[in-house]
Amino acid sequence: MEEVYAAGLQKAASLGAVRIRRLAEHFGTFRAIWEASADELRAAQILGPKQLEKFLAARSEIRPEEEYEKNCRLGVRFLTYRDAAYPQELRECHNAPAILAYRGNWPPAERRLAMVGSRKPTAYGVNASQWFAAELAAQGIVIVSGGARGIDSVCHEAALQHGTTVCVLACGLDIAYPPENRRLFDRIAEQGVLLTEYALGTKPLGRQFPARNRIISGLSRGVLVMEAACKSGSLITADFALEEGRDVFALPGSIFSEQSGGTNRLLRQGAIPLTEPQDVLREYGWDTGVVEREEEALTLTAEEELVYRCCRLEEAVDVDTIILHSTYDPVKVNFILLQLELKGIVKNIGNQQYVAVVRG
Amino acid sequence: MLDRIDLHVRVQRPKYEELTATVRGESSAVIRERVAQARERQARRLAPFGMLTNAQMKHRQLRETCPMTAAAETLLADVFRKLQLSARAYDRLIKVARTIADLQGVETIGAEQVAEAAGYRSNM
Repeated sequence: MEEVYAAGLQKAASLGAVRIRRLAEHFGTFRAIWEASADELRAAQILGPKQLEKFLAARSEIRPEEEYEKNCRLGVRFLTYRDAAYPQELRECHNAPAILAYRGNWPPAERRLAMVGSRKPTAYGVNASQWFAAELAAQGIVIVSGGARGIDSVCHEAALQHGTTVCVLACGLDIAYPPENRRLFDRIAEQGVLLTEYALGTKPLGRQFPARNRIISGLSRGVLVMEAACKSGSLITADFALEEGRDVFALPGSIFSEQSGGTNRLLRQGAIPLTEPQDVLREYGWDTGVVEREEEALTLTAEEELVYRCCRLEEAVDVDTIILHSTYDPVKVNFILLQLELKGIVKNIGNQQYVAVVRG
Repeated sequence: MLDRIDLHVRVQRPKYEELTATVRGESSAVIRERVAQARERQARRLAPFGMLTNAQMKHRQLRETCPMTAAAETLLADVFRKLQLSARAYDRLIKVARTIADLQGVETIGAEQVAEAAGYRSNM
């Protein structure tokens, strides 16, 4: 029953997380908030006059049952801060969301870490993120991120392949933003959790992204910043993490790389450097010893090995350069590159440029 | 829009030594001749369908005009699955491979042509 009114209150957007919680404390239940008269709400002295007016207007137009039905049809379920299944780490945040909507399997495992980073990562950032997300997910750690382009998407993908992941959206669960991630979101909802504090139909407005970041950090024991320029949104997530007493890890980068400006600064301020996934496991004593990954050893021919060595993990290399360095003819190089791509150890990133992929 | 373009080739600025080198590359006239022959071959092959060039082929004609070696078939299937091509990208890959074979005067498409065609993908 409370879920119906949770859907209604979520749709009435004008109330912030803190105010919803104070109202719930005052009135006892979400239903009681919804059914309270204007006078009762005013007497509670939780909402200012303008907010009260906005809430009353929104309330008169929303039918909680209808909202709830819409959510049910999309397989969306609710989680409120009063539920036992509400994550303890998140509850401890001073502005923890009162109502969350999710698709997928709740609750995720206890061991959760956030991985965030640039929307325009370098090959280095992508490779490192893939490696860390895959290894940590394989150790049973849930990777939490924001479903954005770039690093976020790479981390979700890698986590899905080796374990599971939680994706926190800055919009309603019926909206795919960025649109090219629609399929990724559906897979996350199937194998992990797709989560938001916003009602269906809520568009991804700018100010909702920092708010979303507080949930990412709130759900996690620590935040791994993989690549971030000096003015990156990922640094906001790191700030939330520090405020809430979570650990901040950062991937060291070249001092000349713009995309590592923010992460290198975090390191200077005391973030824990990421040099291998074990760094993280050791920090939490989650180091369960060596876990044998069952991956058939990849065998390369001598020619494949040589071409692979012409590709780099840190940046894209032009086919022409690979041809030059390998001394093979262009047809042969293209053929070998395709073989390497099919084996999953190089990637064609378009424009006839290739990057090496970390070999598990 | 990039998805509608068949060949993606990144060209590097020539090095100074290349501009001043005495070794001559293939002349445009020779290449032109090769292209003309390839186009003729295509026109002949596609005449029954009322078409002139490989680019005009629809999915149906691909099956009838693009014989492949077993190795090429296997590679193509591998590429389609592992690189997660769309149906359009798959058809385009075959057309490009067909054209490369035409430029080489080869009738049956081999694995080399499929591999080269795959290298011209835009990929994202």
